[in-house]
Order: sequence, then structure tokens, then C-alpha cells
Amino acid sequence: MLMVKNLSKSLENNKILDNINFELKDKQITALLGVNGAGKTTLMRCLAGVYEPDAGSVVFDNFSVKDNRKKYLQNIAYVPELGGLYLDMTVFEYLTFIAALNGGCDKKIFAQTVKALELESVIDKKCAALSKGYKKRTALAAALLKQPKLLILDEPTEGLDPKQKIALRKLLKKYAENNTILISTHIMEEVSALASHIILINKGQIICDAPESEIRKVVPDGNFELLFSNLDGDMQ
Amino acid sequence: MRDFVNNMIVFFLKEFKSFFQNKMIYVLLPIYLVINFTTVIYFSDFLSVASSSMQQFFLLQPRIFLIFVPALTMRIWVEEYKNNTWEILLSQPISIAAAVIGKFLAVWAVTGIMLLSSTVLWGITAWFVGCDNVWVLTNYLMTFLIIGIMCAVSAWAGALCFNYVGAFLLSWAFLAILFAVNFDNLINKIMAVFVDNFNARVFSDFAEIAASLVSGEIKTAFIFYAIALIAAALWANVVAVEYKRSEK
Repeated sequence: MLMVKNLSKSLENNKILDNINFELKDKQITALLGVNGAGKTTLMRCLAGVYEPDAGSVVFDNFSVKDNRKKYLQNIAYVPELGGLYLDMTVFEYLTFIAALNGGCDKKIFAQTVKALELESVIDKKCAALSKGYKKRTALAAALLKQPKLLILDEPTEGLDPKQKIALRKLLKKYAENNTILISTHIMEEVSALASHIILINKGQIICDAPESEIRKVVPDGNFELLFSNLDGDMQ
Repeated sequence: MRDFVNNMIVFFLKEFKSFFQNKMIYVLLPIYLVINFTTVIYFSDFLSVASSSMQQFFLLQPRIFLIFVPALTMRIWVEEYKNNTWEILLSQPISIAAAVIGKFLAVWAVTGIMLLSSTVLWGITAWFVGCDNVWVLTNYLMTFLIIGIMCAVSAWAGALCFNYVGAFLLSWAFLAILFAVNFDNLINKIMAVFVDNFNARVFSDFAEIAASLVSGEIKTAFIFYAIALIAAALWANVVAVEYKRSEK
């Protein structure tokens, strides 16, 4: 279980996250929703160990990102919105590089992951030559190689065609049977299709943290886009 | 410790390979050789006074690498920020120090290859007029150590920037300061805080270090000084990357 307590983070003297508190239960997919500039990416970066929080604690399976950074990160994988691929590497080189940083990877898991994300045809291609969809899948494959207990995905389906989106949703749902997933997305269709829990963030504060089914009851016609209608941000 | 060394090797191999994959080395190496041959031939009567030519060669190396080292190091951190791969790196269960040392060693190895390519000059000298091979070999090793200091300082400067031009210029500026600093004065001022009448007489500045090595005055103090400076620059590099992680 991931526990976030009193988390705050400022960037360039602007308070981006203000006293964030929530828990992610095991074996569920949680969607992190918010307008642009709400603090989603900063929150994900704090959870992934990229940013050091100014205050508060982030604990996963009793390991704190601050005090047991290495053990904490061994159980977590993060896929940023922009992929984060080494463009001069081939897909194979990139996956083996990330696997090596995590102490290596079982050949069977490697083959299964490559197959599940349909990367066989591009395995020897340079990352720079990949389409946006393949780049996303390569980044996701690298994250899945270490079989993390918590998978953090920033806009995972952006750039994928409808067929790829369906395949990815299926894969994530299967992965969530034994693990925890946190996704940030703007696509409401994504939320309905994947998430069992929703966290709504606005101006660096959590304004809603509830199961998807409960929110669906209070939102007129189950239209999640209405959730955004009263929020301030760049989108409006 | 084992994980640290493994990660360091992974970063070293990744970075070292990238110099060949992006063809950078194939551009820099011929330029380096042309500069070496022209300067040595221009500044001295190469074949008639072979050993003094090699002396000129070693004296010029730190100045020649003043351009090549920033060109090599400017991309190692900037590329991580530019391609957003730093987010991936910082979210891995690795030590930042392993990445910093691995990257530094890769750049140092590439400069080693460049320096090695210049042994053609040594071969020509030895073949035609003969030279003191032990002296030449020692100078090669010491020059490599000087370039190591330059690589460490330059990599640190590069970690502070977000674009290639900035990284190149800042690296160059840091190295220029390194050349200009009078180390005896600096050490004396620092040590004066702890010890009365401390008077270091190691080297006055970076150019003198090269000159004293060439003249055969190799001092053990220099080796300790070089290792200490490399370690300090690498530590500063780790702090620079860590700072970006905790940026406010």
C-alpha cells in the first residue's frame, strides 16, 4: 500500500503541491485527474523519486522514499508523459539498459513483455525512428521488466491508436490483478474503462478521493467531464 | 557496493558506446590529430629535434584539450535533461554517484583514445631520431591524469546547464579558471585557517603543472592533488544532479 502524508512541494517559489494526503490500496487502478497545471505531474514525480518533497512522507510497503530510497524504488516503476527514451539506442539496447540498472531481468519476463507490447518488429530499431505509439510502448515495457508492485503512468494512452489503446487497457487490467497502478489522464473514456478509484486534484490540493462507482453516482449522467467544469486551470 | 559497481559499469558502457553511435568521436578524432601535427610541426623543428618536439607536444596537450573536453562533456547531462531521460534515471533504484562516475569514466576513456591516437607521433620520433621512451610514456600517463581532472571539472559544469551551448561555455570557463588559479596561494589560504605559517610549494598553476611534468619533476603530490581534484569535482557533480532533484 502506498501512503502519502502531508506532502508539499514548491517549484520556483510556487507551491505546486499543498499538504497532499491519500492512500493507494493494493491491486487497484487509480486515476489521477486534474486540469493542466493542477500538480499531477509534480505529484507523480514526487511518488517516483524524481523530485524530493519539501515536506511530508511517501511510504510504499513500509519503505519511505526519503529514508529507504533504494528499496522504495525497487518496487516502483514510472513512465513519464514524454517517455524518456535514449534516442540513439535500439529498443533492445534500451530495455537491456533499464533492466541492467535494476539488477538484470529474467529472459522469460523479457520475452513476455516484448511480446505483450508487440515490440518484436521494432526490437532492433533505434528509439529515434519509432512512432509515438511504439515509443510509449517501449517506455512501458522498460517499466514492466522489473515487475513493479506499483506502476505510475503519466498519460499512458496518448498517441496510441484505438487498437493499441484497447490492447494496453487489457494489459494494465491484467497487471492490476496482482499489483497497483496509478495513472494520470485527461481522457475520461480511459477513466471509465480502467479506474476503480479516482483522485481529483486542483491547485495542488486533493479535492476528491473516492471509488469510481461512488463518483459516477453523483456526477450527472455518469459524465466525468463535468468534474472539470468547476475547476480553474489552463484548460479553461 | 556490488550494485554500485555494476551500475557504474552499465553507465560507463552506455555512455562510451554513445560517443561512437552518434559519430562524435569520428569528427573530433581527425580534428585532434590535425591540430596536434600542425602545432608540433609549426612550433618546433620536428624531425631534427625530436625530443624537444615531444616536449612541445606534451606542453600543448592541456591547451588543446581545453576545447575537446567541453565538446565531449557538454552532452552527457544536457542530453538527459533534453530527452527527459533524467526522470527515468532518478526513478531507478540506483545511486546518482554511480551514474556520475560511470559517465566521467566514459568521457575520460574517449580522451584516452584520442591521446592514444597521437602515439603515431611518438612512433615517428622513435623510428627516425630515437627518444627516451620511459620519459615519453610517463608524460603520456601524467597528461592523461591532467585530462582526467579537466573531464571531471567539465562534466560538473555540464550538469549545471540545460543546453549544449551553455554547457560548452560554462565548461570552458571552469577549465579556464582551473588554468588561471594559483594553487599554492589557494592551498595556503585554505590551510591558514587550520595551520599557522603553512606554505605549500606544490605548483603555482595548471600550466606549470604540465611544464614541471615535462621537465621531469614529477611530484607525488601532483598525483594526490589530481585524485583529490577529480574526487571533489565528481562530488560537486553529484550535488548538482541531486540539487535538480530537490529543486524548489
